[in-house]
Amino acid sequence: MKAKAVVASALVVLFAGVARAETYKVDPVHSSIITSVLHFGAANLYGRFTNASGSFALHANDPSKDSIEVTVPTNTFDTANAKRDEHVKGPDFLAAKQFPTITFKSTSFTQTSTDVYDVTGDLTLHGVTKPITVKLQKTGEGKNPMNGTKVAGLETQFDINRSEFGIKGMPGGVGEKVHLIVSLEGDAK
Amino acid sequence: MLTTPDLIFAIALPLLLAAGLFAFRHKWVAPVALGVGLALSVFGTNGWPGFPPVDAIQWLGFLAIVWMIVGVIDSLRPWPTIARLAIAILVALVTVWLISANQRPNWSSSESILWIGGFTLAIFGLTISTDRLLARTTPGISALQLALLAIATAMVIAMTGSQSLANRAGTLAVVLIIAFVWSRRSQLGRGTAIVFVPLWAAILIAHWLYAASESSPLISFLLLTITPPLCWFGQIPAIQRRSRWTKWAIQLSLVIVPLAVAVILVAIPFARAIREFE
Repeated sequence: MKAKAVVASALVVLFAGVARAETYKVDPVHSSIITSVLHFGAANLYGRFTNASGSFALHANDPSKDSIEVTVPTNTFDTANAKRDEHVKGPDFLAAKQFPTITFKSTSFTQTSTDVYDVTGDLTLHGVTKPITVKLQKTGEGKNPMNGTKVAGLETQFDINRSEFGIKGMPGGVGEKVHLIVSLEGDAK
Repeated sequence: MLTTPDLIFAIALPLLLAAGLFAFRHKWVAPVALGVGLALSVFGTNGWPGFPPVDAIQWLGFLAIVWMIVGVIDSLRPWPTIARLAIAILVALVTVWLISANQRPNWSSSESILWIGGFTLAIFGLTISTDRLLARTTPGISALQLALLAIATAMVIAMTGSQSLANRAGTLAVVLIIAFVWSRRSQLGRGTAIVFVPLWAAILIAHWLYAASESSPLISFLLLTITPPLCWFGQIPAIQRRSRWTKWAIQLSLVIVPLAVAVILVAIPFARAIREFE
C-alpha cells in the first residue's frame, strides 16, 4: 500500500513537471509593435500600433507545446501625423474599417537555442491569412514589484511583402517590404 | 500622389480607350468607355482581387463590367419604361449591397434597412434623373457637367483619405472629358446614366463607409450628391431661351458653384494639416 502511494506521488510530481506551463496575458501598455517602410525609396518611415491583446503560453519542459495568439487593432496605427495616419488607415493601405484587426496565431514552436524559437503561425492582415515563420526570442522574465505578478517578454523582427496581403496602395511611392518589430510583455495569469 | 501604375491604368489607358471609342458614332461607346475604363483602372492598379473579393471596394471593377453590359444593351435596344425602372433599382440595390459588404456586419437590422434603402433610393433617383437629363441636354454641356462632378469627387476623396478611390473618380472624369471633346461626333445617350451614376455613387459610398475621417465635412458629400439634380434648373424655359453662351454659362455655374464649395470645404482643413506638418 505504501509502495503504491509513493509511485502515485512520483507520477503526480512527474506529470506536473511535464505539463508545467505559464500562460501570460499580453500587457497592451508595455508591448510595442513598430513598423518601418521605405518611402520614395529613400528613408524608412516608422509607425506603431498600440493596444495589442492576446496571450502566450510557455512550457518550460516542452517548448513544442508553446503557443501565442496576438490581436492588434488596426485603427491604432500612428506615425505622428494625423493626415498621413488617416490615409494609411484608409482603403489604400490598412483599410481599418473593413479589417479592424490584425491577428497572429501560432501553429508550431521549435526551440533553436536557449530562449530562441522558430515560430510558425497564421498572420491575418487586410482580410488575407498567410502562414509565416518568425524567429522569436524570450527577452526575459521578472516580477512586477507592485503586485508580485510574474511577467515575461518576447520579441521578434520580420518582414512581410504588403502586396501579398492585398495592400497595394501607392506602389513605387511606398515600399513593398514592411519591417515589423514586435515586443510583447505578458502578465502570468 | 500619382504613381506610374496610376498614370498608366487610371489615366492613360482609359483616355486612349475613350479617345478611340468616341471617334465612332455608335450609341454604345459611352457605356463601354466608362465601364472598361474603370475596370482597367481597378484591375490594372490593384491586380486581380480574386472572386469574390475580400475587400468590398474591389467589387468596383466587377460592377464596372456588369453595368457596362447593362448599359450597352440599354443603348442598343431600349427597354420599356417599367423594365428600365426595375433594372435601375436592381442595379442600385446590387451596387449598394456589394460595396457595403464589409460594413453590413456592423449594422443593426434597422441601420441596414436605413443605409441600404437610403443609398439604393438615392442611386435609383439619380440614375433616372440623369438619364432623362442626358436625353434633353446638349451633348457637350452634359459631358462637361458630369466630368466636373467626377473631378470634384476625385478632389474631395483625395483630400479626405483615399488616393486609390480618388483615382477611380479621376478615371470617370478622364472618360467624360474625352466625351466632351468628341461631343460633336458622339454623345452621352441611353445607357450612359445606368453605368456612370451607380459607379460614381459606389466610389462615393465606398469612401464614405471606409475612408472618410470623422473630420470629413458631410456637407461636401451632400453637395456632390445634389449636383446632378441641380442640372435640371438649366432646363427652365427662361434659361433655355437665352443665347447659346449665356445658356452654357448658367448651366455650368449650376454645377461649378456647389462643386467648388464642396472642394473648398475639404481643401481648407487639408491645407491647414499640410501647413502644420511642414
